[in-house]
Amino acid sequence: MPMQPFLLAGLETAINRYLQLDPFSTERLQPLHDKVVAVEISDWSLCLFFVFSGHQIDLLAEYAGQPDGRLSGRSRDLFNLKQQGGGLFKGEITLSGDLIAIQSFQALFEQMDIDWEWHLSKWVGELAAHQMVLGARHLFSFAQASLGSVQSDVMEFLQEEKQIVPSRQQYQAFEASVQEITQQTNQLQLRLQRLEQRLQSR
Amino acid sequence: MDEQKTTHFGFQQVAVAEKAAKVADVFHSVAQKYDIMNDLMSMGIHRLWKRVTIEKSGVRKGQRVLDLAGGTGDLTAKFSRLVGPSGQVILSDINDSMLNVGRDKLTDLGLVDNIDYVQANAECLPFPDNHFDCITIAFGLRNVTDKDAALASMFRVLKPGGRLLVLEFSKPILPLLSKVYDTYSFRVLPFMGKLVANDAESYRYLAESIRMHPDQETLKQMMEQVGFERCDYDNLTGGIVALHRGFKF
Repeated sequence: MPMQPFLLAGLETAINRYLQLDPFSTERLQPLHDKVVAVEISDWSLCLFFVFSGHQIDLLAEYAGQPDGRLSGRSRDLFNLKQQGGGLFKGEITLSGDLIAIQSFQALFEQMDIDWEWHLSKWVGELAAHQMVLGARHLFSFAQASLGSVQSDVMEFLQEEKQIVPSRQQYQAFEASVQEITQQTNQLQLRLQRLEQRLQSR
Repeated sequence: MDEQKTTHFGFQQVAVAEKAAKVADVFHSVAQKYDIMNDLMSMGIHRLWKRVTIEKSGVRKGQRVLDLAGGTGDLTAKFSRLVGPSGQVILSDINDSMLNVGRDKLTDLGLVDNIDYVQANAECLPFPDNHFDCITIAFGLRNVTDKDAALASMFRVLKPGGRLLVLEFSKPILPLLSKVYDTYSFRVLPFMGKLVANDAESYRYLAESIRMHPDQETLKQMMEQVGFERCDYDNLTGGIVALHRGFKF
């Protein structure tokens, strides 16, 4: 038996459990009732169908009907939709079908607001839960800051010291010159075509 | 004449007329512990087998589905969400104890709008001709006395273009797996049945009935003989279970 059903079952359970952690997710699920949204991850050659009904989401790899909405793009763009925002306008992500359903689908996960302290307090008590969440937040900001600093150091080393990769400005200048050459080549091609047509007409 | 004919009930031979009552006794006995025993016996894998069945069913919004021998309604729950408010799912079982457990479970899950319950014998289904878009029978066919009659009855009530899915225990395709599986079925299952459901005999019947059930190719031929077309099957978990699919055109 392939692994896919196992992975899908796990993912489906995880999504439903995750949504249950936010009491307001039920409200956000309402516009999606009886809707099917397809998410097509082009670089993984994978299409997942999210079937919405009440408070439950069913996840399928095959769906014989026509989904109400379809979201297609590369994994990187789809997973970073919230951060990048602009992916939609750059044409990296394609939307089709019922746009309200797609917007509601996006909002369902974007607007997740989980009160971890409250959930933890049921198991370890209020004081311990508060300390744990505070500690996790500190750890997260420290990790974020460290990661940012490491990224910037590595970038500087590769660009300035070793000069293996170009800087953003160099890359942009190169991209602009490539575009200019492309444009000039296209113009030259058009001129040649016109010249060819004239010679043929004589 | 019928009384003189015999059929198998596990490894025993019983009168044809007696088999249905004996099977009914087994399921009356296990109904309350059916779900927990399924999880224990299959180590939860029955959920994946059912998931594959759903994926292969091609069911979509607005369709009418018959979940035959549907027991405690695992497939019905999922189908109910897939067909939505404009569709209909009928959970049918010959055994009222199983049907009651299924109805209570689905009601508790809030699934009430598009599900109907029908106590029916698969050999003579009480539905009009060409009525369903999809019929599933999961772990039920091996308990039916006259399997050919049941398949013919399913063919009759299926719409042209509709499909039948039979999920059933079958013959493992790997010799080593077959040996392990035999030991598990005849030693471990009755012991678990005794421990959890206080009923070793019913689970001994389960193991025996699996061995008496037609293998993959035979069942495929049986489906073709009653009129199903484009029949095929997938072996799941090394053939311990097989999912057969056939269409009516």
